[in-house]
Amino acid sequence: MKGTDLLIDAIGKIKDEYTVDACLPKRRIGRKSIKWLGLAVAAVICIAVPLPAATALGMDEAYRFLYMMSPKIAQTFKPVELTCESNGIKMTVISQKINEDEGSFYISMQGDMLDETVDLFDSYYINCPYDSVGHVSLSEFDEETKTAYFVVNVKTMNGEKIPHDKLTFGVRELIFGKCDYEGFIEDVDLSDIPKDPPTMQNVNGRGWGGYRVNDEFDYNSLSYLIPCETPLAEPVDGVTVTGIGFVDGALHIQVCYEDILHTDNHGFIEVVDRNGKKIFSEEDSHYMNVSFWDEEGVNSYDEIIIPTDYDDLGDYVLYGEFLTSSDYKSGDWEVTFPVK
Amino acid sequence: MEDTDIVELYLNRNDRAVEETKKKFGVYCKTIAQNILHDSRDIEEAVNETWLKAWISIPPAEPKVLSAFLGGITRNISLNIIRKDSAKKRSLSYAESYEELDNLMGGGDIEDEFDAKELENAVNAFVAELPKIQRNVFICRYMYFESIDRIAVRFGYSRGKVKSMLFRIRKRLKETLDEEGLL
Repeated sequence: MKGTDLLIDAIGKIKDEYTVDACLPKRRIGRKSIKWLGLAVAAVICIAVPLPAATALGMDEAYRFLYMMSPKIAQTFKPVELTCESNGIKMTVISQKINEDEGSFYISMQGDMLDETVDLFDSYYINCPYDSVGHVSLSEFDEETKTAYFVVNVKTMNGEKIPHDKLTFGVRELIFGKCDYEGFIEDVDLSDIPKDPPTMQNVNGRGWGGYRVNDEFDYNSLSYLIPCETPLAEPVDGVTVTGIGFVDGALHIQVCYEDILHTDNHGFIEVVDRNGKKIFSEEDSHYMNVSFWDEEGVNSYDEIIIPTDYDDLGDYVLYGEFLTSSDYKSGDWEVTFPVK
Repeated sequence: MEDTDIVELYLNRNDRAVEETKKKFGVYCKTIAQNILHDSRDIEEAVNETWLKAWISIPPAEPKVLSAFLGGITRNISLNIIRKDSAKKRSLSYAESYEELDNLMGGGDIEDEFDAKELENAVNAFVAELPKIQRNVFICRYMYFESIDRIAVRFGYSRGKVKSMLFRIRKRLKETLDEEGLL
């Protein structure tokens, strides 16, 4: 038996006591529903609007409508473009390898601003005339020519051979200058934490985590630190500690992640002792964090809230783990090539 | 109706047991089937078979957590449907989760003498040691095959954070299984 299937079976036998607290899947309007809604809209448009008028919307739009209606027909008419350039970065199809129901395609992206940390930031799409799953990974980076080589892996959902048809691969955004930082945040002194600092409410919430709140969590039920004009610490570019204080009997730590929609900056912060032993972390059931936008909706604040005694903290230090990127480039890269 | 009352109906062989189960857990079991299967007929088959299997199993079984018991049945039936017929379509989130675990396991086969019970014990011990939040994210992804998007919404994290968290958990699981000589 395949090892993965055995592992999946073993996970299925995890004791109830560990699974009972996990999320119970809930019905939501998922992508599938949105896809069907899109199909319905496309069908109405295609019936009601003659093709010349549809194409007058622009070739890209016409292709998108056609792709929603029939991926097979859309791919048939999609012109072959083995290379394209946008914002100074060139995308080229290099080679392909087909093995039954799986295909691997090598794509290069070349540009002076690229580095070995380049990431497609989940902004890529793969269009093909059959149901498939796919993912993309960075294969290698050539520093001399500033070229990143990506492998696009595609697998048919029904296990049938990959048809000899056309495949479209596109990317909308690249991030680079990625940095993985982990370490003590010495600039914040936990032995001198302000009591009852100025706070604010009515934040523009974007999410929360932790088990002290339920699904109906109300952002306005809590008070949040007012971000300091001068950050208390900047452990890594793009991440600043903008506040710390005791509010309503709980330690609040506020971290700001810069321009998250373009950088995907995110991280974890915890209270540890000098040996790195975790004292308060996201692993505790009473730890919670609330994320909210700044006024412009660009930067995101994480406010970590830990109910604890003021006197408990003097011997400890903040510890952070952050993933950041220093730059991004938006563009319109798309190649279409025959699968052979 | 409380779960204990529903279990009581099963124990008394009362027909209402199935109706009450459908009413309370129909959406729940269907969601689990949808997380694994793609075809609506397969999903319906998995859910209907769940009610039958629950009726056959209780008694002698007397589940303490009825949702976990039923969810486990739906999960197994759905997995069996795609394992019996490799041409069956599977959901995207299942395919992604499978690939993540496949990378962890190295994609190889396990010899017959391999002790599945040993793997089960190792996974349970690993999960017991996991902090609560990570444990719940792990279970959502690999027990219920929830998509990254749904997990992100559920826990209020960004997609990147969920992916990072799962990556770190898988890395730790791989190390654990390596240490146990199970890889």
